Formats: sequence, structure tokens, C-alpha cells
Amino acid sequence: MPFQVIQFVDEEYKSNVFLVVDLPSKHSIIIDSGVRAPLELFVYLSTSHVCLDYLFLTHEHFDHIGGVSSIKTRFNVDLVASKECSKRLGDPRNNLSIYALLDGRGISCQKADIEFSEEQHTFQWLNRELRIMIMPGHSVGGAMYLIDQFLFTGDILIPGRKTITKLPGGDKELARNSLETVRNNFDGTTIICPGHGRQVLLKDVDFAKCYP
Amino acid sequence: MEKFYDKLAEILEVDSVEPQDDVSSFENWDSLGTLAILAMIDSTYNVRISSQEMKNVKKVKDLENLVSSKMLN
Repeated sequence: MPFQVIQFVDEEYKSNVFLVVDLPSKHSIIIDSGVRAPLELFVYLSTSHVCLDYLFLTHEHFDHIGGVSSIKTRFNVDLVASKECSKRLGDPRNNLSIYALLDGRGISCQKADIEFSEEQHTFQWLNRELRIMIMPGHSVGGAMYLIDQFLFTGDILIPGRKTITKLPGGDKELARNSLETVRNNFDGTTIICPGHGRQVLLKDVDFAKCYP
Repeated sequence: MEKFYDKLAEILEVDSVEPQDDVSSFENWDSLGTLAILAMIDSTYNVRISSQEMKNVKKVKDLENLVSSKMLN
């Protein structure tokens, strides 16, 4: 396989942080950053001589964006997010960190360096074309990223769990539409890399359990 | 506050919520559920509740009283 997907898990909220490494070039990208960027991620990047190119966000909730500042400070990378996600990063109410019982600590991040707003978008990374899809329903600024057979779904699709739509910005109908899009447009061998939990093949996802 | 209980029931995904209900009896009274409730209270009543205050809530009525008292301040 020409690249490797390494999964780290944030300790506090069990949110996933994915590092995608292009093995031939030793370049990489991160998908989501946890409430705090996991220490293991920094150790890996510091000791493996892998160059970090971008940090992508699947949505604006605090448990996926809290590590943005530390990653950007340490590695000086561009942040990539949907326009709707980007404009909510700086407000602890909009990213929900103010309600997260973090002992009053709110999270405020700068806006994304690269924003996208079209429903479908492609992004050139090295010699690869990443597919970006706007996927609202769990949050206003939701997006998914397809890199080869790996689909990073954030919290819009977490296999085995009903998609959460009760948080501000959640919408059941939009969530169902987003899930239908995944169900109908990707091959069963697509590897789902969700915002929380394990990676699974799309053909093994029981969508009946996911529809809100 | 008349819609308070309806909104709680919607978030907790139950048919109805009563003042004397123990909050711990709701399956969805977890970190995500309380997050959604705190956000609803802030956006609807313009009231902020701290983590310590939330930890002291045992009954649904406690939460209603807390919100009411903060609305009066």
C-alpha cells in the first residue's frame, strides 16, 4: 500500500485523530485534532522524519478541533475546513467547547487557511487527488474526505451508532441525506474512518443503526 | 419556562420528563446529552450553567430551579 493511515485517540472524548502518511515521499496530513492533540502524534512526527503538509477538519466541534493550535504552532501547516466549519472555530459557543464541562475552558481557533464551500471539491496533495464532500446533519460545517479507499467521515457516520443530531446545528433530514450519499456512492470495500471508534469496511456498516 | 420540559424530553429522546425524575435515570443523560441541554439552555434562556452546578443537579426540578434563579439575577 503506498500510504499508511495511523489512528490516534484523544483520551478525554475518545475522538479519533488520523495521520495519513504517503510512504514513498514521507509526506503526511492529519484529519482532526482531538480535544488535545495526542502526545503520541507529536512523538511519531518528531521521530519518524515524516513531513506534515496539512491539517483537515471534518467538523467544528471541540472534540475534533482542540489540538489545532498546538499542531499549527509546532508544524506550521495550513488548516483545511469547510467554510461553515471555519467560521465557527473561533467561537466557544459555536464549537460547543463552552458547554463541554471542561472546567470553563473554552476553545477558540483561528479560521481555516483553506476553505471550501462547494458540495463536491477536489484537493491536490502530492500526486493524489483528495475528494472533499460537504456533509451536514451532525453539524453545519460537516465534511468528509476520500483518500484512495479511505473515507474520513467525522461524526456524520460512526458505524454502529445513531448519528447525533440534537446538538446545535444538527438536522435529522440532512444527516439522513448525508448517510444516503455515503451508502449509495461508495464501494463496499471503502474503509470508513469515523470520528470516534474503529475503522470498518463500508459493506459491514449497518446503516439502519445509524439513521437518526 | 413552559416549553422547558418538552425541550428536555426531545434532547433526552423520551416521551415526557417529570420534575421529580432522577436525571441519572435517563439513558441519554451522558456527556453528549448534558452538552446539548446546556447549549439549549444558553440559546433559549440566555443562561450559562457551570460544570459544578450541573454536577449538583439530581432531579429535573433542580435544573429548572437553577435556570429560573439565574434568569432572575
